[in-house]
Amino acid sequence: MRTHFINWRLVLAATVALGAAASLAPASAEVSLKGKRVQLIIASSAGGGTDRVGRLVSQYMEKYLPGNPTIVIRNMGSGGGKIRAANYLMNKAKPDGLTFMQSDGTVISPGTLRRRSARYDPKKFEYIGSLNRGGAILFVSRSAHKRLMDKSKRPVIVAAISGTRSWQAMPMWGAEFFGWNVRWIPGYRGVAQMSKALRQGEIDIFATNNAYIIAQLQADGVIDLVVQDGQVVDGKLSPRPSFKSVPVFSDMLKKAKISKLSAQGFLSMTAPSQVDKWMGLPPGTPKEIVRMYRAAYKKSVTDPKFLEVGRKQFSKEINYIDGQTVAKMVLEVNSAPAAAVDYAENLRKKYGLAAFKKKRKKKKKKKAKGS
Amino acid sequence: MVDALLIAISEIFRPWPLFLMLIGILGSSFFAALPGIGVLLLITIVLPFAITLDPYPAIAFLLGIGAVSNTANTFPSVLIAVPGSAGSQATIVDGFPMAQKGEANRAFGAAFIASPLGGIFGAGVLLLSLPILKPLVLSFGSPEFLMLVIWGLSAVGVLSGTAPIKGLIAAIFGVLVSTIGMDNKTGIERFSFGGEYLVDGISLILVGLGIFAVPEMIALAVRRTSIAQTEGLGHGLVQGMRDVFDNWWLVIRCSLIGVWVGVLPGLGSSVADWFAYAHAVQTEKNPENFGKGDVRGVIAPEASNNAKEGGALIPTIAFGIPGSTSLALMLVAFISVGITPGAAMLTEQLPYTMAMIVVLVVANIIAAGLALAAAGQFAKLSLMPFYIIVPMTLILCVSASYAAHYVWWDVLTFLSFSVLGYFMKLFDWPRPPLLVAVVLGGQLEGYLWLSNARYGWTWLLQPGVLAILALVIFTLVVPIYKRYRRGQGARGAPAEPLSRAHRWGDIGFLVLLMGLLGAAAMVSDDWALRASLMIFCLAGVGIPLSLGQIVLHLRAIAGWSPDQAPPLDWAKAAEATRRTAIALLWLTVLSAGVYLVGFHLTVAVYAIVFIRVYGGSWREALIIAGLGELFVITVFDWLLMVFWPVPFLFEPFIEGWF
Repeated sequence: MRTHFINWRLVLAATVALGAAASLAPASAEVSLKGKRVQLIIASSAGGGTDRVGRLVSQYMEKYLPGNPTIVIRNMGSGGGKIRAANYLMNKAKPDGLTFMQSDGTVISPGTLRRRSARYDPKKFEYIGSLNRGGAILFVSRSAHKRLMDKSKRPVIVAAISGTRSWQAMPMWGAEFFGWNVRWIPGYRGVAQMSKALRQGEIDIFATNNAYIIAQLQADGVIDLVVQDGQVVDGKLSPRPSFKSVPVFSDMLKKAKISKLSAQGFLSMTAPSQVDKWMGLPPGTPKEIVRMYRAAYKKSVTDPKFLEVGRKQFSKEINYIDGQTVAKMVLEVNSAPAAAVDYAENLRKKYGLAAFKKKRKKKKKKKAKGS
Repeated sequence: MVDALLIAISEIFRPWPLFLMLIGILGSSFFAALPGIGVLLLITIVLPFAITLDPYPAIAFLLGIGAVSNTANTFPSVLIAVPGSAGSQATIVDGFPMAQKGEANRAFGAAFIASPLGGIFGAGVLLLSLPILKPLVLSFGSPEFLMLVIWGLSAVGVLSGTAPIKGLIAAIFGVLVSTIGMDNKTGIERFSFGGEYLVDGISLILVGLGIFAVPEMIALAVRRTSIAQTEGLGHGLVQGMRDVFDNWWLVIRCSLIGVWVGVLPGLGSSVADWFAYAHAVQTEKNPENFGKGDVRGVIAPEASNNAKEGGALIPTIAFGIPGSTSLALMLVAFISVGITPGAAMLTEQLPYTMAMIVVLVVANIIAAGLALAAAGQFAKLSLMPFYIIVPMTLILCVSASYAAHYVWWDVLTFLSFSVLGYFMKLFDWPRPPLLVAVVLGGQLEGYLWLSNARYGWTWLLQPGVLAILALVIFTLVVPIYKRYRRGQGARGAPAEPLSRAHRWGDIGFLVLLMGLLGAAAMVSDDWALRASLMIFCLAGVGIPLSLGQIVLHLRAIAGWSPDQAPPLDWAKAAEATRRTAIALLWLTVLSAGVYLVGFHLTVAVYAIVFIRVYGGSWREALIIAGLGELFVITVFDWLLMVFWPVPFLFEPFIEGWF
C-alpha cells in the first residue's frame, strides 16, 4: 500500500517544499522568517561547550534573522550524537531555512568520517559561519614537567577522550619528533574529569581551549603551559593573544623539518579545530536563505553584548569566521590525501587511541581454495 | 564568615530574589513531576534570562530550581510507579507498594519531610566543609570511584531479595545494556550495528519506564481495581512525617550518602537514591519488609537525592567542576553574571557562596511545604478506578519515552523494556538490580579500565580502596550474619514458590537471556579486547548462572527440590493471560497510534475509547481526554515547542500541521 502512494506523495512533498521555499525566498532578496519556528540542532548534550555556544548565538540570531523567528533548540547527545546530528542535517533536514545546526570541528575531521555511523559529507553543508575560541593550549602538571623530556624517568601520563580530539596530535607528534616521554590513557569522559584527575596526579597532560579552566589551574599553581595549537586570524596562524609566550606547535614542527606526509597527517587532525564551533544549513539550501543566515550570524557574533558575554563564557579570543571561509577550510581539511589521514590514524593506533581505517565498499569476492 | 552570611541573607530576602526563587521552585516542581522531561530542560529555557540578572537574583532563581528538582518527582514515583526523573527511581520500590496498601499519603508525608531535611543537611555540610573543600574533592581518584561503584553494585545482593541468582543475572543483563553505544576507551560503536540510534547508548528513563511502570499498569489492568486496594487513605500524612523523625538516624546517614555522591563529580545524578536505598536495606532491622511498602524505603532515597544538590555545589564552587549537568548549565550563568568559582568563592566572593547555602535551605522548605499542601489531592489518584489511571499512565509513559530524544526508536525501545519488565514481574524476577546495573555499569567498566591502565594492579593496595573495600565487605556480611542469627539462612525469608507452568516459562526466558548474552559475546569478538573484555566477562558469568537457575527449576519441577511447586489454577491463569494480552495490546495500539495519526488525535481518542470500553462514563472519558490533550499542548507544543513528525497516515496529505 505504501509504495502505491509514493509518486503522488513525492509530488505533494515537492510542491510543499517549493511552496515553503517560495514563501521564504521570493524573487527579490527579501527573505523573511516572520511567524516561523526555526529548529536549531545542537550536536551536543545540554551544558557542553558546543551547546553553550549554540544557545548564546541563537538568542542573537532570533534578533537578527529577518522576521525574528522563534528558534527551538534540539540537542542531539554527545559523542555519537555529533555524528547523528550531522547525518540528520545531511539526510533528513529539509533545505527550507527552517533547520540549521550548531556543531564543532570534530564532525568535519577526516578521521571522524571514517566512523561506521558517519553518513554525511561535510563538504556539502552550507556553512553559516564559525566561532573560533582560540586553539587548544597543552599543559603539563608542574610535578611532571621535568619528566616530559627525560626518557630515563617514568613517562608523563597523557589523558585522552575517545573522540578524535584534535589536540591529541600535539603529544603524539611531540613523542614522535621531539622525544617526549609520554604514556597514553584513553577513556576519560571530558575536560571536567581530566581537570580533576590532573589535580590529583592521576594524569599529567591534557589540553583545552577553555581559557577559564586553564586560568583556574594556573591560579592554583598546578600546571605549566607547554605548547599551543595557535589561532588562525586573517588567514595566518599565530599564538593566542592571551598566551603569546606559549610556542605554536606547528611552528616547532616546521623547524624540525618533518616529512610532508607527516605534516599533512598533523594538519588533517588539527585543522578542523581551527574551524571550531560552526553553524550550518542542510545541503541544497537556497542561496538567498544561506546569505540571510550568514548576515544574521555575523551581526550576532559581532554584537557588543554577545562579545561581552561570550568572552566571559568561552574565551577572550573568540574570533568570527565567515561562512565562505569555513566552507573553504572544510574543503581543504577534507582534501588531505588518504595516505596522510592513514598516517595520523596509524599514529593514533600506535599510542593506543581510537583509530579507523578508510571505509571500503564491500565487494563480493569468492576466495579460491588454495590461492 | 558570619558577616558574609548576614550579607547573603539580606540580599536573598529582598522581594526580587525571593520572587524569582518562588517562580523557580514552582517551575521546578512542575517539571520534576513530568517523567522524561525533567528540570534540566527548565534550566535551558530560563538560561538566557538568568544571564541578564544580577548575581544574587541569579543565585536565587537558578538554585531555587536546582535545589528542589528531586522533591515533586516523588508524586509519579509513588502513585503510578513512573520515575519522575532519574533521581527518584528507588522511591518506586517501596513507594508504589505503599500506594497499593492505601498509604500514599503516608509515603508523601515521609518523602516531603525527608527531602527538605536532606536538602538542609546538604547545605549544612556545604557550609561546614568550606575550609576543606579542595582536599575533600581531591581525595577520590579512579580506583576509589571504582570501589564506590562496586559498593553501589553490591546493593544487587540485597535488592535481589529471595532470588539472588536471578538478581545477579538481571544485574549482568543491566551492565550489558550499559555497554551499548560508543566505547570511551576505543571509540568502537558497540552494538550499534552500523546504525546511528544506538551510538549514544540507551536512555535510562526508557529502561525505568519499561521495567517499572508498564508491568505495574498491566497488573492493574489485569486486577481491574484502583491502585490502592483499600477503602480509604486514612490520615497517613502526619504518620509519614512522624516516621521520618522516628528514623532520624537513617535520614542523617542517607543525607550523608547523598552529599558524598554529589561531591564526587563523575558518579552521576541517578545513583544517590539507589546507594541510599541499598544502604537502608543492608543496615536496617527487618530488611525483609523492604520492597513491600516499607516507609524507610521512601525515606532513604528521598533524603539522599535532595542532599546531593548541596554536595554537588562543592566541586562547582571549589574548582568550577560542575557536579551535575544542571550545575554545568548554572555555572555558565554564574560566570556570565560575574560569579567566579575557585579560590575567590572563599574570599571576596564568600557572600555568594553563603547565598547559595541560604537558597538551598529556603527553597527546600518552601518546596516541601507546597508538596505537602498538594499531597492530599494527589493521593486521591490512588483511589481512582483503573480505567482512568491506566490510560493516563500509559499516555504519560509513551510521551515521556518520545520526549527522550524525539525519535520513534525510543518508543520502540521503551516497548521492548516494557515486555522485558512484564516477563520479569511474571516470573518473579527482582527488577531493581537491572536498573542499578544500567546506572552503574558504564562507570564500573570505565573506572576499572582507568584504574588498571594508570596504576596496574597496585590500585588494589591504595588506602582509600582498602577502606571502601572494608565498607563493602562489612555491608555485605553484616546483613547475612544478622539473618543467620535470626535463623533465616543467607537468603532471608523464603519466597512464594512458582508453579510448574511458571517455571517452564521462566526456563524459556532464561534461555532467551542466555542467547542474548552469547550473541553479544559473538558480536564483540571482532572488537579490541579493551572493548570486548567486559562483554566476555558478562557472558562468562551470566550463562553459567542462567544454567544453574534452569537446573534449580528442573529439580523443582521433577520434585527433587524442597521448593515444591503449587498446582496452577488454570482457569484463573487463562483469564489473567487474556487480560495481560489485552493490556499489552492497548499499549501497542497507543504507540502505533501516535506514529500513525499523531499525538494529539491519539491521546484524545485513546482515552475516550479506553474509559468507555471499561465502564467509565462519557463525562469521565471527556474530562480525561481533555486533560490529556491539555498536557500534550501545554508541555509539548507550548513549553517544548516540539517539531512533530508528520504522522505516517497523513504524510501524503499534509506537511507541518502536527
